[in-house]
Formats: sequence, C-alpha cells, structure tokens
Amino acid sequence: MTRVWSEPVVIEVEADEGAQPLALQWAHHSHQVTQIANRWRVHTLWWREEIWREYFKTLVDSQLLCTLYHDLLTDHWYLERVYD
Amino acid sequence: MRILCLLIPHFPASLERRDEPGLDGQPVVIAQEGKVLDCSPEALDQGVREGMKVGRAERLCPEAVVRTAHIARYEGAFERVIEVLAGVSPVVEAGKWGEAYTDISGQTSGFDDEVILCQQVGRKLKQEVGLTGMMGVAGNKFTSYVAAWIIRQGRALLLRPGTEREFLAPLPLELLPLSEEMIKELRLLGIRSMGQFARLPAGAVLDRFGPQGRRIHQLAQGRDERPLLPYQRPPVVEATRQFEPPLGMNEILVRAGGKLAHTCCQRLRKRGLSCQEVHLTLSFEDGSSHSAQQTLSGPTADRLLVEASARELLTRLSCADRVTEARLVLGGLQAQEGKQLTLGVITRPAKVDLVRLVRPLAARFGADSFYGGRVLDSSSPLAELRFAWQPWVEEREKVDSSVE
Amino acid sequence: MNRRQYRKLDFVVASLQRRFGPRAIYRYEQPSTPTLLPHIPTGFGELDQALGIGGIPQGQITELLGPATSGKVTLAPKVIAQAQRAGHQAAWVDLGWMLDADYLHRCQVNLKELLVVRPHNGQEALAIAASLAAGELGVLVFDEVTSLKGQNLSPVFLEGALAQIHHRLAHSPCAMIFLTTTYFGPPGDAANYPPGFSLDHYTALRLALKREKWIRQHGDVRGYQAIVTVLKNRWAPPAGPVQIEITFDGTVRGNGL
Repeated sequence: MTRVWSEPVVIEVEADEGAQPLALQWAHHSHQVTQIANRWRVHTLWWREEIWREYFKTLVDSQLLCTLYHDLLTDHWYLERVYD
Repeated sequence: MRILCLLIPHFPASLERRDEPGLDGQPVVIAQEGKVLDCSPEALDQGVREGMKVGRAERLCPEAVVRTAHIARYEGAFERVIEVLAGVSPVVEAGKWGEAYTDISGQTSGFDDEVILCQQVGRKLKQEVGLTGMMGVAGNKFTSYVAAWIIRQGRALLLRPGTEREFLAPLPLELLPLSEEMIKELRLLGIRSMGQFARLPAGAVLDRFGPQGRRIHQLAQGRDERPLLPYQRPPVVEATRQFEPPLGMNEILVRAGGKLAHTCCQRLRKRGLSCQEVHLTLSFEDGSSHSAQQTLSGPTADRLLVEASARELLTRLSCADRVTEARLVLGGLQAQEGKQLTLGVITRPAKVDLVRLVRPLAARFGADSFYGGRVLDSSSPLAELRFAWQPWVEEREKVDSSVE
Repeated sequence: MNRRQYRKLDFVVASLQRRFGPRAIYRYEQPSTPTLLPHIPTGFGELDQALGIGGIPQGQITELLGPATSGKVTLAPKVIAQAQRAGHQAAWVDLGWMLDADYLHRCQVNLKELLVVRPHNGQEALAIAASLAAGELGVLVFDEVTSLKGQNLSPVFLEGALAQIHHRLAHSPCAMIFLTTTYFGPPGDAANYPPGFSLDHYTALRLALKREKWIRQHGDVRGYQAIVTVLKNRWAPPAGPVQIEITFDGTVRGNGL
C-alpha cells in the first residue's frame, strides 16, 4: 500500500543537469537516491489549469520507495507518495 | 478509591452443588465438550485441572461426579450476582464467572461502615443467589482480588487505606500474573515473595521483563491504576403483553404464548440473531410475579421452538390466579451461523446501519472527521483526480433523500 | 524432569492451590483452538493456515507491525476486502490522514462502503475507535500507533482507552487491527509506542512483517516479497514464517486472491 498526502509535500531536491533527483530533504533527513526505478511525464489539463510534471519512482538509501514529481511550470519538487 | 472484590470460586461447580445439595463434600467435575470446564476443590486435590480431558479426570478421581456444563444457567446466575453488587454501587466490573468488582468509594463513611456493607452484600448474595463468596476491600483492583483470595469462604478481608504494599509483601510470587518463565527467572535470582519483587529497581525490571513485567512490578508494590470497566448487560430481545381484564392460565396458554414468541422471533431475525435462553415472567392480580426459564439445546430463531418453550414455561408457572402481564425475554443471543460449515465460518452478518452509527459520533467529534471514498476517474494519470474523500454523513443523507 | 520430580512439583502445586486457590499458579497455556472461532480470512491461504484459526480473530485485537514497505498496510486492506465480500462493514481510523484510496481500490476494497475516520488528534482517534469497536463492524483498522507518540497523551488515558476497546470488542464481532510502524529496534520495541500504550498485553495476535526483496520488472520496482512472522497467537501454537508477495498494481500473491 502507499501513503499519500492530501496535499503533496514540498521537498528540497538536489538534481543533476538532466533534472534527475540525486538526493532529497524530507522530514529533517537527507535521503540519497540509490535508484530511479521509473520516470514518466504528465502534461494535461492545458485547456483549463495546465499540469506539467515529471514523475520519478525512486529508491532511497533508507530503503524507502517513493514517488516524487518535478512541477515543470513552477520548478518545485513534491513528494507524492511513499510505498508502505 | 476503595474497591470491593467479590469472589465465588469454582462458580459452575458451586451452582451445581447449590441445585443438588447431595453433591456437597463430593468431588464434582463440570464437563464441556469432553474437557473439564471447572471442578470442586476435592477434585482439584486429586489432580483434576481445568482444560484436562474428562477421561483423564475420571481416572485421577474415580469418585468424581461429572455434570454437563449449562453455560446459559451459569451466565444467568452470574447476572444475578452482578445485580447484587449493582445494588451497592453503579460501577460494577464483571470478570470471569464468580469474579466481580465494585467501586465503593463514597458509599460508606468509614472503615467500620465498610465492614457492615460487606456483611450486607454477603447476606444478599445468599438470599438472591444461594451462594457464599469471599470479599476483599482495598485501594485498588489487584490488591482487593488478592485479599479476597486469601480469606476463607464466607468472610471478607478489608485493608486499611495505604496498607496495600505491606499486605502483599509476604505473599508468594505465584499470586501475580507472571508467566512461568518469569517466575523461574525470579526464583533463580532468589526472589520468592511479592515484597522481594517489589523492592527490585523499576528500571531493572523493565529491562529484564519489558513493559508487562514493569506493570506486574507495580502490582506487587500495591499500585494498580486500572479503572473499573462498567459491566454491560448482555443484549436481550423481549416482548410484553398486558391483559385487561386479567386472564386465566388456560387463556394465556391459548392466546399469549404464541404471539409473544412470534414478536420476539421477528426481532431476532431482523437482527440476524438467535437465542438460547427463554425467560417468562407472569404478573398476577395480587401484585406478585413469578418467573421461569429454560435453556434450549441449541441457538435458534425458530418461532415454533421458542413458542414450545414458552408454553412449557407457562405450564410450569400454572396456578389459579389471574394474570395481568406476561413478559417473554430471549437471552443468550448470538449471531446466526451459516448452515454450510464446509464453506468456512464466515457468517452472513446483519447489515450495520453505518449512518446511524456515525451520526452521534459526527455530532460529538464533528462531521469533518468521517469520510467515504468516491471513484472519480480510476484511469486518470493524476493520482489526485482518481478518487476523492467525501464527508460521510452528508453523502449518505443525500442518497437517502434522493431515494425518497 | 523425571517422573519423581513431576510428582513432587504436582504436590507443591496442589498444596499452593489448596492454600491460595486454583489461581495461585498461573499457567500461560494456550487454550485448545476452538473450531468455530469467528474470524476474517486474510486472503493468503498459507498465512490463514499458519494462524491456526483461518484468519484474523473477530472480537479481538490484532497488531500488524513492521517498518515502512513491509506489507502491513497492504495486508490490512486485503482483510477488509475479505470482510466486505462476506457482508461485513469496515472502518479505517486514519490518524495520519495519508490513506491511499487508489491503492485500497486496487486491493478490491469497496470504497463506498468503507468508513474512513480522520480524527483531529490521538485522543479523538482512540475515543472514536472505542465507539466503533462496539458497533458491530466486521473490521476496524487503527492506522497507526506510532502517530500517537508525541501527542502528549497520558499513560493512564492510553491504558484506559485500550482496556475499554478490549472490553467492547469482547461483545462485538469486530476484528480490530492496529498498525504499528517500527522505527526503533526490533518489532515490539517499546520505543515505537507512546508510554502507557501496552498494546502487547491486549493483543490476541501479533504479526511482524518485513520486506525481503524487491520484485523488479524491466528495471522498475513492481512489488516486493515480505515475510510474516507470528510473534503472538492466543489461539494456536506458533507457526513458521510465511512468505507473501505484494505488487503495486494491487494484486497480491502468496496463495491469495
């Protein structure tokens, strides 16, 4: 099962030049990304309230599997879900 | 706080002896499904133990009288014990059969009054239930329980406030709810009494035996902060008919028995329940009332079986006086079981009305605490657009009003 | 111990019991498993068998504990799905407000019939849980115990709340499941519980879950294998660990559905 926040959590992410996450700051801890298991883009609702995000399913060093996304319009990073 | 613990040891065996005075002094074994449910002290002395197979018990104690357990009867008798205590104080906790607690704080004006109260409880118990127990009064549940266990049958042991630890100190470890392993370990450390255990440092006990050990350590120190859990009466289904003018027994037999059984069984079926106990109470013109009860061989919601039982009870209560009221109560309620046991024991339960369950909670805690899920678009690429949580009460009331 | 020693022990036990009553000696023996103990299957055949009674006991408290991504928050919805199929209703007390409706749906939970409680604080959560425990639900999940830490709840209140829940469940068909995420130490470590919350005392069944390995497909992590260990079972002798498989599209294998 996954844990989902009702409002996605803003996080600090250190990314490389290709905008791939290398590390993230969450819950006062720094988590190193050990693997990006999957990535995909969503570009939708452009006719109403444009949503353009790049999602990453990442494994971090603390053995958590989580889904982050990079809001390509605002350049903010969010933690969407943690696999529990 | 002042807690009174009432213990009636070997409750089922005591009841059988009450109803069959010839069993006094003889070893008695109460059997349920081939195993020993309870036994008298005489059988215990011969090595009979709870849970043992009846065959083995009979070999250990050949002179034991074996009686089949009548659970509903024991439950009914225990209910009456609870009622005796409820007459003393509204806060009564029922433990296992024959074990009950009541909070008598504020019910008496001093220690001497507590002694009188215990005497009154003892007399009422003998009068209403026909049994004798042991009583302990102390500042907490555990100590009152130990006090009741120590004292002889028919007596009470009252501890003055603040003397709990001193009282418990010389008593053996076995009176604490310690596991065999814990007792073994403590004995290896040379600890044999509650006082010795109580003197161990709390931190060391916590490290060695965990939070459970620490709690038991506090019990040994005469500290037990557990509140009494008020007894909840087991649910029943009942129906009453009044007769104006009063009817004779024959007329009752013809007119009332079937109708009462029908009403009660309808209520049972609506809730998906069956009953195993039938109680009938008749009130007479002269103001008196008489009751009879019967335990059925198995749980049922069958109107014909219940009616037959009601008729038999009416016959037992038969007399020349005229009846003003008949009350039928079905107890020993349980969920109806599926007939096809091969499919497993998942029974089809009665539908719970969640709106009725949630409404008072929503009134108390706020409707914004209760939600149901709604599928919006399960294939949407955005997680937040697939499902939504919606306020439970509003949503259900919308559905109800649209149905109307 | 030889026969003479057993007889001597019996004599000591009998004389203690004569003096202090049969309960002078506490024996923590498992009662024989009742053949018709009400229960809700987990949906994992092997796990149901290992539990001895065919599933999670009704009218009792069960605890599922494990670190994040161990399977406990998948096992609970699967039990709810089973209960709903049998006609029971269920509720989920979501103290952290993080319940994933999407995943519940994929675990075949009927969302429309699931009552989700989002309490404002731990005290409310336990009070609501105590009310629902008496309300004839089939399953009630309390998610999660670790969220009660740091809420400044007094040990006396916590102990009383648990005692009340336990007492109400005894007269109810509800299988209550507490979820505990173990952040500190081994499963059951007191550091994972608020002080005074003696859940281990009241549970009839405690299952520890631990992820063993990820299941990968084309480089993507699609699920994981978990091991379920029975730490405590009041109704059956301890059984060996059971392996279950969880995939994130909602299907879960392990001889399950």
